[in-house]
Amino acid sequence: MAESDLPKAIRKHLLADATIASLVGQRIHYKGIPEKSAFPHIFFYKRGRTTDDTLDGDGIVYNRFAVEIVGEQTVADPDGKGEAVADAVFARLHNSSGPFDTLEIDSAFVEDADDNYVFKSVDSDDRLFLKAYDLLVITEG
Amino acid sequence: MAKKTAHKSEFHLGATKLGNVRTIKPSTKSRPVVDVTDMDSTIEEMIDEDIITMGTVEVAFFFQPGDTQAELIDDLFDAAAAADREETFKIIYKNFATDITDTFDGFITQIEVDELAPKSAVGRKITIQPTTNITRTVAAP
Repeated sequence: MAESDLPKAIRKHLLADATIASLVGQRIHYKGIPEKSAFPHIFFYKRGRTTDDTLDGDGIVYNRFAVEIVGEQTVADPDGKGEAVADAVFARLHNSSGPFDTLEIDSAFVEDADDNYVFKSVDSDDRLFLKAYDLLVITEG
Repeated sequence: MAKKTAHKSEFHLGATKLGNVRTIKPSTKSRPVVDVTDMDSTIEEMIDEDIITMGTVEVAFFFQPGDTQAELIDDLFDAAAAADREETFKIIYKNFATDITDTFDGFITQIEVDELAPKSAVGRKITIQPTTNITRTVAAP
């Protein structure tokens, strides 16, 4: 598995969920935000990779991602659909296993990011719904 | 003296190189100390016991119950006759300019499956009691 395959698989796995697709369209971004992207969006990036190796070098790989969900608050929609996206992302990824797109995943777990998390996909929190998750995706090395 | 990691080290049970090895803890050799202090002694007098005590060898694996290689371990442990429970084992240090092979006979005294936890590998550890001293050979890989 190439290092870049997993983010693509995560994105496709999220897009394959009808609820998520209906809420964010194609706005699931890895590492960079297109200039014209709107809200709500999902942005994620890799935070690290650790391994539990055998002496031969393969083993189990622990891939950690940060996942940001951002919605634009309005009077009519106070969380800009962000809460619904966050719930759908959690439901799609947490405690999951099996294929993400064509990639076989051992298991995936979602936890809330810590309180000091600094969002990277937006410059301010002005009138924005912000939610961040830590995503752990475990794969065979 | 070359300074190397244990990367690529191998563990063999009989003629079979076992895969999925995570760690190997080789035997600790020791000579127990005997206190021979008597009434004439001016300080405590100690001598070594002469015979060598071979400590256990511990090998940790990723574990798939029912896997052919995993079964070799169970079959050896479960053999009815004591003589059939003894086997020749090898630890091969592969990362040096030449392979260094430590060979010894022994029997498995313990098979311990790791605690099962959602984010942890399924693993187990075996403990082997050597019944011979170690024979070390150095050969080109």
